Amino acid sequence: MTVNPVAFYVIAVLVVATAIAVVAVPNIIHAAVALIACFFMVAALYLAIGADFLAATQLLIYAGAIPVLIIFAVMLTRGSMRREGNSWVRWWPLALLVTMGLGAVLLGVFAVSHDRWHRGTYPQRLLDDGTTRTIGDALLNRYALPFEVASALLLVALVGAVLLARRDESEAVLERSEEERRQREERVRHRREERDRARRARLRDGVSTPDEST
Amino acid sequence: MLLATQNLQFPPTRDLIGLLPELILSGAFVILLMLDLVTPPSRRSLLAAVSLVALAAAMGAVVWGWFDADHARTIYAGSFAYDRFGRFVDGIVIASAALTVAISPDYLNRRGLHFGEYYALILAATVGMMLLAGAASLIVIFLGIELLSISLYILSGFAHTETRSQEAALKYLLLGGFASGILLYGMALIYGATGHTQLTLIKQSLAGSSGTDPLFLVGVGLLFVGFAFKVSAAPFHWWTPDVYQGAPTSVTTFMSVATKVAAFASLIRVFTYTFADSTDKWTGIVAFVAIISMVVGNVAALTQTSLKRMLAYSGIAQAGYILIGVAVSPDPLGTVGSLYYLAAYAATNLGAFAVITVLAGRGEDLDSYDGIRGLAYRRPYTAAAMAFFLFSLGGFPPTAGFFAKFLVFSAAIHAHAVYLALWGIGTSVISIFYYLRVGLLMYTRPKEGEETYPWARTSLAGGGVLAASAAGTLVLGILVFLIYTAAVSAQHGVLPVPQQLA
Repeated sequence: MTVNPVAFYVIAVLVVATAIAVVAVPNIIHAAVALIACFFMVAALYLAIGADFLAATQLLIYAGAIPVLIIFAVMLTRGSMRREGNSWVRWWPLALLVTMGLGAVLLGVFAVSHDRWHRGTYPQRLLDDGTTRTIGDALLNRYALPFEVASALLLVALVGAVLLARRDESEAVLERSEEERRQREERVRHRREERDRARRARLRDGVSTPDEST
Repeated sequence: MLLATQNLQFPPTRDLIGLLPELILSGAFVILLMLDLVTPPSRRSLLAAVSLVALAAAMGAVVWGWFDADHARTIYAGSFAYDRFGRFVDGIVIASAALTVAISPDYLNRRGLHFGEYYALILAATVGMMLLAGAASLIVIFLGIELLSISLYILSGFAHTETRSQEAALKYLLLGGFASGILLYGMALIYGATGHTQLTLIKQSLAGSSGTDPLFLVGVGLLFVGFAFKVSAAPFHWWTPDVYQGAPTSVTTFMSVATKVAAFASLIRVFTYTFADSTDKWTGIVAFVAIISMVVGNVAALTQTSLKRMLAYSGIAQAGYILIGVAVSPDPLGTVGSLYYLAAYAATNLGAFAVITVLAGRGEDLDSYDGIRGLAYRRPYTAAAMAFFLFSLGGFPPTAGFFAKFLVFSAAIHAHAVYLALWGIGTSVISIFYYLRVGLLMYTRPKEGEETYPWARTSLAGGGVLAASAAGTLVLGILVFLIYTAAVSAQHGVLPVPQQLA
């Protein structure tokens, strides 16, 4: 199976252009819209290489669900997210230099070894059965362990997100313990003052007693 | 390639049995989440007890697996190595998790951070570490690292109202994500160069080549950077002091020990055993990073005034010593030395952090050097335990640290890398200074009327953990052959199969 080079380059340029738009536009909602476009283009790229199942899930999950989630997150946290700060940090020339250096090395590697990449051929079964069936088979057999671990990973991430977002209870607990600590310190100070007063009184009495005796 | 798997029956029972410890802990993870919902906040110590039972069961499964994995094999179509090497590391990780869980309820109660999810997340991180230790495929390595990292990001940031904890979590998340990206890039290049994700197949496909493919070499470099970040080796260590200091101390205890052990296990499996045919291409870089870590860690630790930061820099230096065992590949003594060092480091460092955790009071977290001034006159046993751990970290006999350093340095000499041993010995001498400084502070008599840190009372569990760590440190320092023979056996059984050396 070969990819039409014209189709590939048109899609590739659009993918990169929309990806740049995501990080370059100042308004976060516009960035989210650009992200949807970018995900669409990636789906087109998958279609171009005959990965129909991947293209469909890409559309459903990345172009469909995730931008909705992002936009919801932006809307619900408007107060903290709307501030359009200056995203240029002081060290940006250094960051640019490092990134360009790393990019140059990686591009250089591709240039030197572009003919050494392992190229798989499409197995006949992939063409006969389609990608959905083949992927299902791979996920439940050869890649069963990574598949299961990925589900555990997502569960942990979910639990963590809830734990970090659920501030009410935790803050109440912390405030309660803080309050207890304050009360305890208050009690200790009170007791100490009491003791001091008693000692002063005793001292006064003690001083006065010998006076009387003489 | 995909077609070959069609006749595979899923899941073969023997594969499931090979994952028994991980399955037990994953099950306990889910049970703990459910149990948390019906447990009143004041009874959350019950969750710690359940976690301990699960960890004990998993430990039993690991010990059984040690004998069962006599003949090493890969399971799940080459994704996971069922070998003694993995079981050895699993044992250390589970023991660290159990000791951490045992000191946690008291500490978390005092700090007002006792959330039920804490125990579930510790178990999830443990599963991630065990998967990482046994992973025989690049995909499982990545997923294992992510599972343990995500759990630890959350754990280091779950003290909501402490800015430092939040900062630690955010730093860890951003830098960790960056490192994961680099690691993944390296894996992609290696996949591109060899056409495989399974380590045994990668090793096979490398056997014929000279190992000079730039695609492969850059992949190896990026992979090493990713691993070096996880084991906090210099110059990829910048996150370590901030995260160790900011995270709740019980989390730091677990993170500093278990993460390093698991990540080193995977590093050794991938580099020393999978890239075994091209050791001359990458051992130079590993040796360089080892030296940088030893120097940076020990020199930076000298100027610290925070206990957690000092132990963090000390951990960076220890990573350097352990890396010596990787830098002398393919010498099998290097792996044995590293494994022994990991066990010794786990017992000692866990003990040192456990002391800080156990002593931390309700107010300010115990962190500054001033906080332990005069400890020996109020808590003589705890101070003695801390002094013992510091001696071990400094490498004095008859502690675990001495034999660990001895084995690693002698491996370097055996492999004709005397300069590594010299760097190691030189930097160890520097390290004695800052360990002794802390030790002397504990034995400085506080002046009359001087306020000392309000140390918490040591509970039975806390005392038990300190005693267990001290016992481990002592056993590793005296009954050397016990763990040494186990480490040798682990090295013999490691997958991908090591070359037979003359």
